[in-house]
This record gives sequence, C-alpha cells and structure tokens, in this order.
Amino acid sequence: MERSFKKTWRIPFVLGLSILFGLLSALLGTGFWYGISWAAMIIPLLVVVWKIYVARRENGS
Amino acid sequence: MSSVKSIRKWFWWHRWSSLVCTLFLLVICLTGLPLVFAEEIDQWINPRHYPEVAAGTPMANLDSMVNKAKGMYPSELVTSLFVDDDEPQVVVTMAPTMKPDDKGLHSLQFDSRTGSLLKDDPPFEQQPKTFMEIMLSLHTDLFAGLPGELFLGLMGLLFVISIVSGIVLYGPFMKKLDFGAVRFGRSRRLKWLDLHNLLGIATAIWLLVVGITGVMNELSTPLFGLWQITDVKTLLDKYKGQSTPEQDKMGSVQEAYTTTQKELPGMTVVSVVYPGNAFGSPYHYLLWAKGNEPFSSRLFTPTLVNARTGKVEAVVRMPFYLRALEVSRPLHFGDYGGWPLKVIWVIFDIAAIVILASGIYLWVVRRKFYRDYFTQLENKEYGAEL
Repeated sequence: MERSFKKTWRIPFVLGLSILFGLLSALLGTGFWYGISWAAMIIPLLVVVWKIYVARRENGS
Repeated sequence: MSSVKSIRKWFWWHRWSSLVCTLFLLVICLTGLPLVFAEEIDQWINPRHYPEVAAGTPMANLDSMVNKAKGMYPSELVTSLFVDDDEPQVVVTMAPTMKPDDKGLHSLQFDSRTGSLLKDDPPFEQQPKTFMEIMLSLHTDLFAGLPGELFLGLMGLLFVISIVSGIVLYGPFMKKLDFGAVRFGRSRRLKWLDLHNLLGIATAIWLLVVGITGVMNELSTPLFGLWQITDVKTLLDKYKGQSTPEQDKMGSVQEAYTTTQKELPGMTVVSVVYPGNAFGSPYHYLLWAKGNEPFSSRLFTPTLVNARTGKVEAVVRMPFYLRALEVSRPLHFGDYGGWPLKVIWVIFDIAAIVILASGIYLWVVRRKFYRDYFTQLENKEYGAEL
C-alpha cells in the first residue's frame, strides 16, 4: 500500500514541483532565473512527449 | 480515501464539475491562446510610431497637454491621465460628465516628450471592437460586464474543483499502471483515458495556478468595490461636506505628479485619476505608482494629493486581498518571463484544451458504453422470453 502510493506519486510530485519552481523563479528573479524557469517548466512537457512516444513505439497507435 | 464509496463520490464531483464548466473553459482556453501574445499582436495589427527626438529628452509638461485637450473640448471634463512608462505617450481621457459610463468618454494621445498631440480618437463607444477586445471579452465576461465576470468566475471555480478531484482520482486509477502508461493498440477509450490522465497530472499545478488566479481576476471588480466602501471610505470621511473642486480651480497636475514622484523613490507614477471620478476621490488627484523592479512593477501604490492645495495627504497601503489580486495577474497572464515563457504558456494551454476535449469524449463514450450494455441485457431478456 505504502509502496504503491510512493510509486504512483513520485513522478507527478516531481513534475508539479518543477512547474511550481518555474512559475516562481521567473516571478521573483530575472535574467539567469528566467532561463531556470523556462527549463523547469519545459521538463514536464518533455516528459509527456517522451512517454507518449515510448508507448506508441511499443504498442502501435 | 481508497474505499470504493469515496472514489465514487470524487468521481461524481469530477464528472459534474467538469461537465458544467467545460464548454466555457474551452472558450476561455481558445481565446487565451491569442491573449497570451496580446501585446505583440496589438503592436503588429496597430503599429505605433513615435517621432525621433534626442535621447534623454525630459518629459513635457502635463499641464500643457491637459490644457491643449481642454482647449479642444472646452465644455468637457478631464477624467484621468495615463502616463505610459513603456512608450513615450500620455493619454488624456475626457467626457462631458464624470459618470463612469458616460457615452462620450474619449481619449487624446500626446507625445510625452514634445507634448504635441498625436491622435484624437472618437468616443470609445463609437469605436468598433478590435479583435483583441473581442477575445478579451469572450475570455473574461462574455460581453456581459460584471454579471459575466462573476459567472465565468464561478465556472473557473468549478474548473478548480474538477482539477482537485481529478488529482485525487489519479491515485486509484493508476494503482496498477506505471506513470505515463498509455494503452495504445487497445480500445480508443482506454487510449484517451490514459492520455487524459497523463496530460492532466503532468500539467496539474499549472492548471491549478492559472485556474485559481483566473478566478481571482474575475473578482477584481467586487474586490476593488470592497476596498472603496471600507478603507477608502474611512480615508475620505474626514473631508465630508467639502465640494469637489471645479477643474479650472484645481492645482497643477504636473505639480501633483512631481511631488508624488519625489514622495515615492523607486516607483513610477503611471496614472492620475481626476477628482470626482468614481474610481478616485472627490477631493484629490489619485495617483497610481508602480515599482521599478520586475516583481514590484506588479504592485501598485495609490497616493492622494489634495486637488486644492497640491499637498500629498495619503500614501495608501493596499489591503492584502488587492495585493493578492496584483500578484495573481502575472501568474495568470504568463507575461513575466520573456517570450519563451509565453510560448510555454501556449503549450500548456493547448494541453488544457486536449484535457477538456478528451474529458467530454470519455463522458460520451462511457454513457454509450453503459447504454449499449443495458440494451444488450434487455435484448437478451426479450430474446429469452420469445
């Protein structure tokens, strides 16, 4: 039970944190922090694209 | 949390909160796409050119611009000034009366460095709506003013409920699945269910932040109203009985501007609301200033300057709920981290559209699934009787 909770939520939690960090770093910082923000917010999008790509390759469309 | 009963309950909330708001949210998401780039599109459709002047030319005198405007419309009142901090322009807004919904409200644009008139626009009421204004209205009030804002605010609240219930449901749904498992090659319903779940959970925090700040923005009219009937009223009560000064007997607006600017180091005054304007004070120039740093430029400070004496009488502290509203603006618009952030905003917005559309699809096919199932059962019984 405990294990499956961790297993289910580990990646969503990290992605959520990444977005939150990205949203705030551009709001509170500038210059360098803008770059950090873009990267942090693109990560979840890339993960989604990658997961869909892998699933398609394994199972067809 | 994982009992079947509570999952059913959350599912009920997820289904109905989303179904009620989905159509409106689709409109909001679609109109949101161009709105992210509103500034760029506006500049592209309607490019503004300013004559070249020597670098470092100081700002022209506000009084002379106001006087020019008054000279052109001697029977009208100045309601407010906008002193742009981004482009070299000062916009003088005038109307026959101080009524906030006066049909004659119109504006004159001046070059802030030379003080010369650039444009004398017809009344707002007579100008055709621009593409961006139509998008904004569909996005914020459905052309229905305050009732429209409150209605879409309520839809936004349902959207937030559907996100929260969706996050709660993600756990039990994914019990036997790995993160990102998309069952291609099985039924179309399973494929879209998995895509809905994957996109939804990966963008959940963005959806929540933009959803909550959107609701907050829809509440801006009542929040400002609340501030006016509480703090502002207390502040103005001591002037009760005084009359609003006539416009040709008021102190210099340039002086009010300069004094306030001195009073607020590190800030820039961007607008002056004239005495008698419903959004200001009957006795003061109300000057709105904002900070000069990226974050503080989102925070505004109002200052009251006595229109008769020209003295700064109050630098007002904004209440927490208006501060929250100010911070929620950039977080909703996505306009605070350069153009790449805007592009990211658009991608997240498209993801939201896919989540909404797949949600409707899943609801439709599930209904069909059950209906087919029950007709099948009924047919079987009917056949058995025969």
